[in-house]
This record gives sequence, C-alpha cells and structure tokens, in this order.
Amino acid sequence: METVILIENLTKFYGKYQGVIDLNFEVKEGEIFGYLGPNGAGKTTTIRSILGFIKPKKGKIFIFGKDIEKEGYKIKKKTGYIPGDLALYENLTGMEFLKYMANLRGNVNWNYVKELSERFNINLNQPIRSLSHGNKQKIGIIQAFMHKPDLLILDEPTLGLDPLMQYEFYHLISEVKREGKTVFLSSHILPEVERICDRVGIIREGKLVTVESIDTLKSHAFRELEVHFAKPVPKEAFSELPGIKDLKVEDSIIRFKVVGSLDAVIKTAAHYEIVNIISHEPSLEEIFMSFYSGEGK
Amino acid sequence: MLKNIFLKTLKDKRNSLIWWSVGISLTIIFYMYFYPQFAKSQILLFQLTKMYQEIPFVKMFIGETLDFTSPEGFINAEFFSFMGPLLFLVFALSFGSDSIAGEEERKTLELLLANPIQRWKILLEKFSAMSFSIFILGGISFISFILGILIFEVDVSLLRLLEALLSLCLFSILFGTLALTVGSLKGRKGLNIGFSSTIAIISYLLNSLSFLADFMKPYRKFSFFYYYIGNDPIKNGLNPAHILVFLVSIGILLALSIIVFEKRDIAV
Repeated sequence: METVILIENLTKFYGKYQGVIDLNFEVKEGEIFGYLGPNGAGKTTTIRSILGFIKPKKGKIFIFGKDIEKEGYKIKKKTGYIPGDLALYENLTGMEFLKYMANLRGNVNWNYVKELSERFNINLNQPIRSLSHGNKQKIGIIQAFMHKPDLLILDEPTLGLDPLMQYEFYHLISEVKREGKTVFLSSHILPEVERICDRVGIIREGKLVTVESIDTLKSHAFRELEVHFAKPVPKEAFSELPGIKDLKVEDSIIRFKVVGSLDAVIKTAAHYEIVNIISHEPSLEEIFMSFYSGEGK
Repeated sequence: MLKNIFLKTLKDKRNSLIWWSVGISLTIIFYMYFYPQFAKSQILLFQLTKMYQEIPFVKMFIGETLDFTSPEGFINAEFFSFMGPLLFLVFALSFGSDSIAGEEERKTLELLLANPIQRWKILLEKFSAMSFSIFILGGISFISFILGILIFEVDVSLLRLLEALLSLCLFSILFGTLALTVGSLKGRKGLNIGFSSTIAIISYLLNSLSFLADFMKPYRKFSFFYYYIGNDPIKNGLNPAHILVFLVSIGILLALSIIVFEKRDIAV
C-alpha cells in the first residue's frame, strides 16, 4: 500500500500555540487514521503543517510522495480539509459559499453537493451568518467532501454536530473508506476514534505518545465498572478474575477497573442478583496514564 | 461574481465602491458649480490672495502657487491638492489592508489556501481587484468632471484632467499596495492601516512643508506626493519619470509581499 502521509522529524512552535516536537509517523492509503489528543496537545499544529499553512522549523512532510514545500498547491487538488476553527464567508449563503469554493477548486459534481446537503439536512439558501454552529459545520463538511478527494484532513470534524448528524458523518466516513480514500481525522473523543478509525496516533503536549491499531488501543483501554447487587457479595469471587484492578467492595456494591474483555466479570457477576451496572468510559488522560505507566500491557 | 478571487473581492467591495463613487462625484460637481461664481467674484479672490500672503500655512492644503483664476488652478487647489487624494487614499488604504489581513483575521484565508491555489496568485488577484476599483473611482471622477464642465461651462483640457486623475490613481494604488504588503507581512489589519496612513501623512508633510520653508525643498523628492502632483499634471501633463517612480515602487512592494507571504505562517 502506498504511503499517503509521511511525517519526518516534524518540529514546529509558533506563537502561543502548543508546538509539536520531533513527530514521526505515516498514514497508508485507504486508512482511517485517528489523531487523538486533548485540546491544546498540538493536533491543529500538525494538521496546519501538513497543509502548508505554517512552515516546519525542522523536518519534512510528504503527501502522496510529494514534498509539501515544493508542490504544496498541486497536492491540494487531491485533498479536502475541515479546519478546527471553521470560519466561513458570513455574507454569502451556503450555496454561494460552496459555489465559490467549487469554482476555485474545479472538479465538483454538483449533484453530489445536493445529495450531501440533503443527507445533512442543511438549507443552503440561508445566509451563513444566520446559521448555528452545527449548521456551519455541515457546510464545512460538504466543502471538504464535495470534490471526492483522495485524502481528507479533518480537524475535529464532528464539533457542534448533534448525535444524529454525527452518525451521518460516521456513515460518510465509512463510504469514503469503501471507495479507498484515506482519512486523517483529529479528535479528543475516544469513542469516536474507536468507532471509525483503523489506527490511532496519540499526541500529548506536542509529542506523539504512541501509534497503535484500534484493537491494541482497545486492549489497553480499561473501563471503570460499578455493579450494584441485591445482597452483599464476597470480595474473593472477583479479586482473582483476569484483568481486574483496584477492586473495592462496599456491602452490595463493587467497584473496579477492568482491562480488555468484560466476559469473565459479567459471567461471575451473573451468579448473584444484579440491580444495576454503571460503566465509566476512561478519560483520555487516564488512557495516557495507562500508556505511560505501562498499565494494562 | 464568485468565479474567482478577483471577482469575489469586487463583489465584497461593491457597496463601498458605490458610496465612494457617489461621494467623490458629488464633491467634484459641487466644486465645478462653485467655480464660475467664484471666478466672477473679485472681492473673494482679493481676500483669498491676501490670506495666502499672510497665512502661508494655507499653502499646505491648496498648493504651492496661488492660482484661483484659471479653472485648472481652481480644480488643483480645491480637488487635487488635498480633498481628492484624501478621499482616494482612505478608500485605497482600507481596501489594501483588508485584502490579505482581513481574510486572515476573519480566518477565511485558510479556506482559500486549502484549494489548489498558490499564495502569490491570491495576492495578485487581490491587488488587481484593488487597482481595478481605484481606476473605477478615477473613471467616475472623470465623468463627474465632464458633467460639471458641460453644465457649468468651465474651460478645462479634458486630456490634462485625465492625466491628473491617472496620476491620482497611481498614487492611490501605490498606497493601497503598501497596505496590502504590510498585511501580507503580518496579518493584522489595524497595524497595517496605522502604518500605511503614517507613511501617507509623512509623505504629505514632506511635500507640503517645502512650500513653507525653502530648506525643506530637497526632501520633496522623498515624498510620493511630489511624484503625484509636483509636475502639476493638470497644467503640464504627466511626467514619464514620475509615472515610472510609481510603477517601480508598486512593483517592488508587490515582489516583497509575494516573497514574504509565500514563506510565512498563516495565523490562526
């Protein structure tokens, strides 16, 4: 498989924004690559470097094998982009804005634009200034996808979308994946990345912590569970189960972390009368900690 | 109007251009209406001459020599010495400073750059839209002068008038380009309006102060005002060397802005 994005030793600091330090990774053709990190970790700095908006202090970036320093504008024929901090021309309508972008870019099939606007349920005849944040985001999505680019670079694309529209967006991603396109998507939401990506790069304070397949990430990831029983249960029944950590028993409530499969825990718990099960998704910070401390490996 | 950046920029500036045209046109027709009455009034002329001798400061606003009796002299004093350049400059500076810095501050520059377009091309299209709009203002001014001349029967050479307006347009484009260049170096609109107007004011003072004090005369050549009106184009026509100064300066500024803009980071 061809390498679509290749980043070598990228280092960049600018202004008051979080820089990135010595980044190295690659994204293969047809891959949905998640770029995961908390706000202010350097995700946007990486993405703006890839698009050539800011110039690396050190290092090189190649897209489709071409050096972005030399052939940046040609590469953009094959890329689509949603900025993290999307700003549109407020004085235009959605339709006018998309027409303008389509004219600047060329190669836009207008039927596809119509199809996308129907799918995302957006009225393109309204002036952009009157639209909600979520609706502006939809226009941002359409302009990134409308020319069917080979590579999509999406900076927090689901920001401001309601759950139904998020679902539609995930659907769109799986469609372009089937067509063999490559997607580079940044997010600070773990379940989103787990749901749509093949591989994940985790960035924290400007440094790439790890690049893993989603399956590996999931096996590292732990969940915090709280099970409420009808009667008190013996601690020993759970303490020896595989993957269990930090077990606490208070009368009829047990609390613990579990890494990997939940199967053994659920089967054991099923021997007693269960009132309620509460699951907490780990925060990104907790996942980072598990990578740092080697917890769960 | 959304075919390219040039047309889109004109569309954005359409209302502003219309209002400036109306304003400038009314100003010109008002002056032309005033002239025949003024020329007849010997008392007014006498008083003005006296004022001119007693308060040299006035020269800064109406030109070096007092010539109110000829229509050319009148138009020069009333329009080309102060009011005309002021109106044209404000338009050019706000247009130029908005070109790159405005898009950058509104964060729409990223959207343009995400398309397969080179940065220099964005810059040149913005520059062309600005120059085109300034020439439109020049054209509207010319038509207004012709109307005034016809209605109020003023005798002025249309060719010379055209030359003076061309000089005014080049002068304004230069300052608009300066604002655009400062914007392409650093995408902050306020900063570049401030900087460019300061240069314009210094330029104006360098030229006008030389009317008041002889020791200032050599410094006139550092002022773009001198190249704009020093040759008195409405009487003597354009001086090719002065035109060249404008064209070369505009060229240098554009080249500089392209070189820097191609390499610099776009602000978030």
